[in-house]
Amino acid sequence: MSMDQTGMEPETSGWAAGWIAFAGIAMIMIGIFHAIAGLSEVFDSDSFVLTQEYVLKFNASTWGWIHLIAGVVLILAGVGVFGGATWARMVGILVAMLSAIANFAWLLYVPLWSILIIFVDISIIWALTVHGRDLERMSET
Amino acid sequence: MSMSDREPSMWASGWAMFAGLMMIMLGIFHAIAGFAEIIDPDSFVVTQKYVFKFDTSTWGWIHLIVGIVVFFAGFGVFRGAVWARTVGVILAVVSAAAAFAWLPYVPFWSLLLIFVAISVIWALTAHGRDVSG
Repeated sequence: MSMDQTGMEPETSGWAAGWIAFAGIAMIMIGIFHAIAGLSEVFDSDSFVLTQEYVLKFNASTWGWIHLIAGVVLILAGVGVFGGATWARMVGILVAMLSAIANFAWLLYVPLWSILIIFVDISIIWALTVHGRDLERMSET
Repeated sequence: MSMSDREPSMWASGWAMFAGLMMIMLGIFHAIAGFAEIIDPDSFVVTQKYVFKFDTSTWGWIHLIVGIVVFFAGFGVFRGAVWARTVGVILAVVSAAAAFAWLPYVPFWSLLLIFVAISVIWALTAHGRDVSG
């Protein structure tokens, strides 16, 4: 038995596809969340204002566009993750991190939205890092 | 490296990557909160009396320094070295404790910082052996 890095028998089968599906669906969902937040800010930018001084206080509509763009990228990347390609997982992890960071910076505007999106981002990163290779291993056997 | 024969390297690198990424993210979160406070200290004030009520810019510097340290330690965790894991857990506890003490300033930021710190501790302790594998 040649024991290279991947030399162990994968214990997963149905689970593998399950976690990839979870990550993909969660990314699409988060993309929609971003889009909802973005659209509401773009259309009613006066409704989402910050009274206090803050370094990252852009126009609410600027934040709205950031959200919208992030949302579209997440949805596309989420669809890519279903394919199980390594690059798609890397992009997924990167995009989920950027989404979490942007939302942390934006938190003062609508804290609960921000918290929800970051929670799901973390679950995506977890699924893609810890279970990301399950699908590959499954197809190798 | 006698790791017994359970769950080998594939999982190992996955957990190390998760823990490392969470630490990098935690570091960036701290830095954002730190910069916000250093640049606009008047915007982040606590009106009530509170033992840990320092100048807001002091808290800002605490966040910034913790953030930088956690950020770079995150890269160490990717490699899965035992010392890096230990340092990672200690730093995550420090981060969570600082965020807890700072909570009256911006509760939601604090909650998130603590949540991410716990996820780091969880990955490094409950799956620490996998990380180092």
